[in-house]
Amino acid sequence: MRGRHRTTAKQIVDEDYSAYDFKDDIEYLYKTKKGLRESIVDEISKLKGEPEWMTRFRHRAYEHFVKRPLPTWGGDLSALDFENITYYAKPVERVGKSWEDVPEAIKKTFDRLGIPEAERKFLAGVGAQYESEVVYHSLRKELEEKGVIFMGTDSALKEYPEIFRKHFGTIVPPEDNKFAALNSAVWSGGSFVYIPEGVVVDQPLQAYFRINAENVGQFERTLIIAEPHSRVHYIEGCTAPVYASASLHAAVVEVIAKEGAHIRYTTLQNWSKDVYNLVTKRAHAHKDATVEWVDANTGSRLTMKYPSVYLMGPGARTDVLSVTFAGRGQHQDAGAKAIHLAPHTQSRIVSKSVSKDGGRTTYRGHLRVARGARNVVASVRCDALMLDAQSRSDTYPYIEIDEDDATVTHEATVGRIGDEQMFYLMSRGLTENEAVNMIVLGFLEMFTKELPMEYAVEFNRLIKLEMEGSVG
Amino acid sequence: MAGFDLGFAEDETVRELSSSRKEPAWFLADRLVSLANFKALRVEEHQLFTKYTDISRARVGGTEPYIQPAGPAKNSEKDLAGVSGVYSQEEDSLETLWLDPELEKKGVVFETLQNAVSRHQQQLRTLTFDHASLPESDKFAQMTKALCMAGVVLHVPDNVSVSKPILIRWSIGRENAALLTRTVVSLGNNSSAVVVEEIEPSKAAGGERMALFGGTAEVMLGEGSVLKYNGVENVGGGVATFLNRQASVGAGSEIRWAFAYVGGEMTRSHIDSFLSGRGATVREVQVLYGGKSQFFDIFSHTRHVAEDTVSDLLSKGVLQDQSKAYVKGLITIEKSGKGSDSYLGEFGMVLSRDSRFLSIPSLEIENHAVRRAKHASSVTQVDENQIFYMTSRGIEESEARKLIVMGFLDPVVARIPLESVADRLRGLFESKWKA
Repeated sequence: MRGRHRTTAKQIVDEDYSAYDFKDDIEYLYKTKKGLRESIVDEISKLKGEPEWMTRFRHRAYEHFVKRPLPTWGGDLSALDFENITYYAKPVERVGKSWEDVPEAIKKTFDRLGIPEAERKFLAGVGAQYESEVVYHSLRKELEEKGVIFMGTDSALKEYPEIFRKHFGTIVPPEDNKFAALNSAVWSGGSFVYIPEGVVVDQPLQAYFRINAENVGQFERTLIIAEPHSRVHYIEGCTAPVYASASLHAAVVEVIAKEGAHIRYTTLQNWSKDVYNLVTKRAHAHKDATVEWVDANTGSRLTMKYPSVYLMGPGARTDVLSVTFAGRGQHQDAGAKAIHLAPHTQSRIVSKSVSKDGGRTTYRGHLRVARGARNVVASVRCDALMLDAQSRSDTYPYIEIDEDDATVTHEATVGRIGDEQMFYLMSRGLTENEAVNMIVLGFLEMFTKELPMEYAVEFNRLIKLEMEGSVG
Repeated sequence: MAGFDLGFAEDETVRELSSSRKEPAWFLADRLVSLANFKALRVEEHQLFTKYTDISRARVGGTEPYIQPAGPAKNSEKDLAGVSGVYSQEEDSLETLWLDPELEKKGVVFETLQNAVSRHQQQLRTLTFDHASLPESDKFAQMTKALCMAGVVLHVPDNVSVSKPILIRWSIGRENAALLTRTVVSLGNNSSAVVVEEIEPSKAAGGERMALFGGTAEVMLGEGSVLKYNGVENVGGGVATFLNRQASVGAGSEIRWAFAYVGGEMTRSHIDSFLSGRGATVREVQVLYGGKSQFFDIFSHTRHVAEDTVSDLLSKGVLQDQSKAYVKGLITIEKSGKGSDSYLGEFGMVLSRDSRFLSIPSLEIENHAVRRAKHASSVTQVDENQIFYMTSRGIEESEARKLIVMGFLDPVVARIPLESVADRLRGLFESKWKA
């Protein structure tokens, strides 16, 4: 029984990886030289035909990047070689308007990732990033009529210069950290989402990112602006081919929820296991606005990502749900930050992590109640599940309270699968593998049930794949 | 984060301290190594806490050390009821050193560090060079080790139980004076003891300039032994206190730390517990009460090295006026720490808008075979509904507030293993509340 099950699982593994782990022979129209110099920053900006303020912005960021030391905390960055990375590669000339315009080889890639189908089924729009340039974008007609903008960030800079300049870089300044500085200097692609006042987008907007060539960094820049009382759910999912040497993904995501707006940002991160995923994600939630980060990290060699929310106006709320899965050779250093700057604000952070085969999960969080933020209610809950003796799990919560009427709670547990649980499930006829899978999926259910169905199915399948071989 | 300079922390001071105490060469060499460590180390070496360490209140760079050793104890034969032994030092003067003669007969050693260094050289050398001696990465532990001016040594041999407390008292606070002290406690197998350490204002306390106190405790427990170590820090204002306590706990042994921090301008306390023998246990309670502009920096690091080890740690703090507290904890379950059970709780109650509470309850787990690894933290304030309920029952509002604050602290105070210490603390808290 067990033997048969394993064979089946192995087949699934093979099938599945063949779907994700591939590399296309794309001819790049333009590629910068490896390594980063001021001239490359100029080159990127010139190539994109950017306004002068953006060129200056890039330079300001570059200067900070050079000065700023690598962080000494978090994961091991010693193998990261900035000189061996291509900072810009452009595969096609222009943004495709419809599916037919997209070059055949790229189309094939997307076909295998299942994007057009997903779009037909349930998506309101698709922004797919291939290398550094958004090559395909569509948005349903009715959204366009409502004034919703969903396009590549590069195009938005040209087509909506005023909205763009007003918000860009206001949430994450280039000086925020070394990788935000790097992104700001060489950014390319990413999504720009603008929801006008009072507009509710019922279905999720989706972007699909993918790194293709070895050592091609991906520095996308996403900006989401929700005008007062609007509502949007944005989803990004990542897969990347497996390569031997390190790739770097350093994105910056800025999210602005104006008065009464509601933004949910869902991420499924499944970079290949050689990618450094160093991402700065931050949101401002103004008066009565809600920002939700739903963030899952299963891939990459090292992820350092702490989605944060600054609660700027009275009545603002945030919910952060962070899920990490670390297998062999992986370190998921993730968490969340909730910074309460206004009265009557609320935050809730839930973190679930699973480590196995020597993988390491770290929860690192910051909860701060600043002076003046009266009547704050905040909670943090971290649960870690460790599947074997080689794995490691850390919890580093920082809780900083400057007011006398905040209600703040934090709880964390680290545990393993209980023998009784296993015995019970196996006595009901489940194999050991099935029982472990069931327990792990149950542990993560709080997350999966927040996903649209198709994603939930895919995520569960991913976890099962990751779990293969964990017993016996 | 500013650095920390101590004017007298120089080779010649160390040599002078050592020669006036007639210390053997190895002891001086050990001091010199520590001095070099002190100078090389940063104020905070632990990457987790570099942003959350603040010693700016310790304006003690110009303090003067007590170079000359304390003379013989002024009182040595005094029979004190309720205690098994007393070591009491006021500034640089040794007031009392007494041990129950019955215990002396059983082989219990209780004497000054200075005497122990010459009389029990070999044993002390083993103890203080033990892997569990003061942490090499801690600047202030190294400061005290390099420059200690006084110390006390307690040794309880196998199968001896010291039932009444051993009292160690440091009275300090003379302006511009620095007193750095070392306490070494070792228990053999199947023995037990209770230590009460009090840090209090001396008669000379007070003045414009600050005083410095550094105190370390190095505790070694054999197998199957129990040590209750209670410490109350209640110095006057104008004192910066740096405390390091460290225990290596052998198989089946238990250390029960209970610490209260009430006084002083600035208090920094680090506790390191190594659960190095199978089934070793640490139970720890810490309670702090801050007022005015007091600052507390409290850190406890527990390492589960051996199998089936248990840690149960609880800290509570109340802050009023402009006081601030950093309450930091770290539980490390090493690969070898199979079957361990740990709990870390850090709870704050904030009574004024100008006070500030920071807690960092961290876990590092390198072994999945844990029975329990859990931590919890919360920050609350006086619940107005409770006040309303109590005032509606005829209790004055100010009394109701006091009851709630005392009620918040009392579960921790009640866990202090010595009733007399617990009662004294309740009194201290009440008077602080009134102030």
